[in-house]
Amino acid sequence: MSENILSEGTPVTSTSDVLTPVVRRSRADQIFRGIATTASVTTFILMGLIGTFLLVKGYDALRVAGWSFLTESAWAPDQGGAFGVAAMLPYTVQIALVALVIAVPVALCTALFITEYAPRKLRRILTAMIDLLAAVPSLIYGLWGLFYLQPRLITLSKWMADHLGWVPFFTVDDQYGTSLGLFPSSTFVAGVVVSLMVIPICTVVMREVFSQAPAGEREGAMALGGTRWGVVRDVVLPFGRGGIIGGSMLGLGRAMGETIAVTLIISPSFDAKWSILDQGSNSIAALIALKFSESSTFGISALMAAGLVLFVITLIVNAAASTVVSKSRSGASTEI
Amino acid sequence: MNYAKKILLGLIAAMTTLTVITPSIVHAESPIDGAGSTWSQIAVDQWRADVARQGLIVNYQGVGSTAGRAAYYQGQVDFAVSEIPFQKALRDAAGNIAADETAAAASRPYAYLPIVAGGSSFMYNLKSNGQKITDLQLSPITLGKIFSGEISTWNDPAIVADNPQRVMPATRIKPVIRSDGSGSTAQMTAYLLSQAPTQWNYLCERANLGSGCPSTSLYPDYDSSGFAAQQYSDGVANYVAAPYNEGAITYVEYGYAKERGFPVASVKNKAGKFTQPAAVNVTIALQGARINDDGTQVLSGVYTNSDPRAYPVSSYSYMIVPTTEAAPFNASKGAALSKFIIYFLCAGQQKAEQLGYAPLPKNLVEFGFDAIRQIPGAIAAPPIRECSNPTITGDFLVDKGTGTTLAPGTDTGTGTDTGTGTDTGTGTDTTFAPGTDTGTGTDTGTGTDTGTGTGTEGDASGIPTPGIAMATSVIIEESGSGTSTTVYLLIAMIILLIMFAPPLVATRLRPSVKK
Repeated sequence: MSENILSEGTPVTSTSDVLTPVVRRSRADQIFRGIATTASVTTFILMGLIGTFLLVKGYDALRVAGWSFLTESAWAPDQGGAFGVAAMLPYTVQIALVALVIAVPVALCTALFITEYAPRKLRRILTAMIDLLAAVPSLIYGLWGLFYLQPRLITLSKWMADHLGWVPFFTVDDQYGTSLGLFPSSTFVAGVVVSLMVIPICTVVMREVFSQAPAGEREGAMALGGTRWGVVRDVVLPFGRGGIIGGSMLGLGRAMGETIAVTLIISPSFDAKWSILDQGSNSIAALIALKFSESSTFGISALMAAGLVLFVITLIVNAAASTVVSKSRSGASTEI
Repeated sequence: MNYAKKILLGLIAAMTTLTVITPSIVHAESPIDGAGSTWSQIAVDQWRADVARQGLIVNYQGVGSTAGRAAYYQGQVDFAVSEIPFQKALRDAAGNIAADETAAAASRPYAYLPIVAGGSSFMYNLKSNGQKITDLQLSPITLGKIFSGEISTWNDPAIVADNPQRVMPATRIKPVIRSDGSGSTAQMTAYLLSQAPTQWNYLCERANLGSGCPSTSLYPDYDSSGFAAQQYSDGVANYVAAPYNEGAITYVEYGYAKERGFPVASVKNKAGKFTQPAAVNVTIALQGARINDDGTQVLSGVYTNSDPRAYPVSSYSYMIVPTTEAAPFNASKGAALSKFIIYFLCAGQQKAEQLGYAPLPKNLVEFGFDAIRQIPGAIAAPPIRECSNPTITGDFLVDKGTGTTLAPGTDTGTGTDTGTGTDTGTGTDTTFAPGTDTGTGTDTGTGTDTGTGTGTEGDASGIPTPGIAMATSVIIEESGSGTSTTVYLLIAMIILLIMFAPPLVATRLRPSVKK
């Protein structure tokens, strides 16, 4: 089939060889191929470099702290005290989970509406709006959350603490009663603000996947007398499972790494707790932002080690997510 | 055509080179680079702009004191600005040296000199029977108890003892600290360490740092102490000013409290008087500053200055300058740096008060002049009497009506007439002690105890003294629940509409889909 192969006298034996398309590479082709390959390899190198950098920079602190870095909750490397991420890590996850609990349903509904229900004109506007929201810098969300949302959200926090206090997450240490002043700097408020940033990202991914649901199956379901909701339930959602998980995980990654908004809102606490409503929260990213400028070289090393922990966890989360996604039907076309 | 183009290009090139070259002709001085404190940055930036007009280029990056000191010993900058000096060896939990700034800095010899002075003021949000309390008084030990979490309500006996003029409410105390590293924290903790050591140790031990931990830029808080931590001066000030944070108190620059129409506590000084952190009181207190042989500050004389006008929680930040020509420094930069220093120690200090700081007093200017001599290539400092620092020319302290002389003790004499005349000035400036009504010290002869004088008077009449700033008080609106509820409802309705209306309309509009 291919002149090249024949001219070299190699007999065509396996079918895969036969099926391999003939590639005629011009110079331009080769150059572009080289550039593209380099770019993709750079991604791997970059990941490796970041990980190595964090490890090298954090090594001093990790050597001193050892495994207690994962079990110690205080943070006083600059005062010669103990330090570790045992408090920051749960808080980071809590904030991210609060954000996802709010963001995923909203994003899911928005994406479904855009792909399934919205008239064409509205669809275009909504898509543009969501993309625009995804592009708003997180500082803006943070400031808006701090100045507008926080003073208003605490009323809801108080209501939840008063009436839903029996839920373990909403229990508030009410030694001094539940005054409004107890709530502004909580995991909950931070999580809500972060959810605002996560919603557009989740929506974009989910919408993209839903819109790829095979038209044939949709029409088939319709033809069988299915309602619109039936189509969504039996065709779009099963098809888009990978996208839903993928979008959520992308959101989780962003939520865990969100810095400025969290830094502005939380009142750092170094004692992990279940309750999300009352004051005191933390996150690794916020800790780094807060302590960086006034930390000694050793303190910075400890911060780098904390960064490494966040980096590894984000990698694990994303790896787990991509495994789930690749197993789903739409997964092949929507890697995250 | 081509020629015309070439000529045009040539012209443009010539013009750009000209514009590039021209300034370097004007600036004989080589530009100097600095980095460090954000606390001092407002002043440094102002002075930079001032000297830039004279052709002196000073670059400054507010990266934080610690990062600034690191940049200095790593040879990245010509000078650093920091609230605390280079730190001695830091030992980790195992007792090994984890970091040692002094050792690192030894490779690049340096001198300290004062650059910006200011007081830590204690902004609070406290109400009694719905009326804002504006005359809170605190002694150093009480301050220590509050900021170590040792006491938890505003009607604690320690606070009541400091405030005989009023009944304290049973509100919970909520100390608000800086969650980020900050010069304010460094100055505040240095004060606590010196003046309330028992309380400071209590805090250290609760934070598991062992007794007698050093003062620090990162506040050592511990959990379940009712503390709140916020980022930046703006953050803590906004937090305290929030209507739902009654009972909160924080340490922040005076200007932030003033801006929000909130009072700051009067702190008890050595003479037993409660003073406000007005610039003049800070400057007077700083006259008690001494320095060690290595140029580091000894502020115990400031904290315990016996002048009745002194505000005890006063401090100044350092400029760290090189004393050798180790790279990147050289003699030409030394000349530029010394010019900059002479500017900000003298004329530049005239702007200190309006920028929210306090002018450096004469003794600190002299320390600075001594340090200049160690800079290689430095120009000679002018004689001290030619320095146009407002505390040396004298008009600063006279304008403030606090007596004609700087030296403490002499004010007992005080020409009473001039004192009274100028005291009105104080009244408008220090917002929370409207001393105007007392007629100020005509009987006492000092005119210094205006703060306390008004406090007691206001209480005797049973009316909280409204300061001038109080008129514009509470910039952050109290969230009236009536209006906000309707707004919420409206928003909720709109959201519901947005969510449910389009699909309904869409299905109506496109019956073809339903077929």
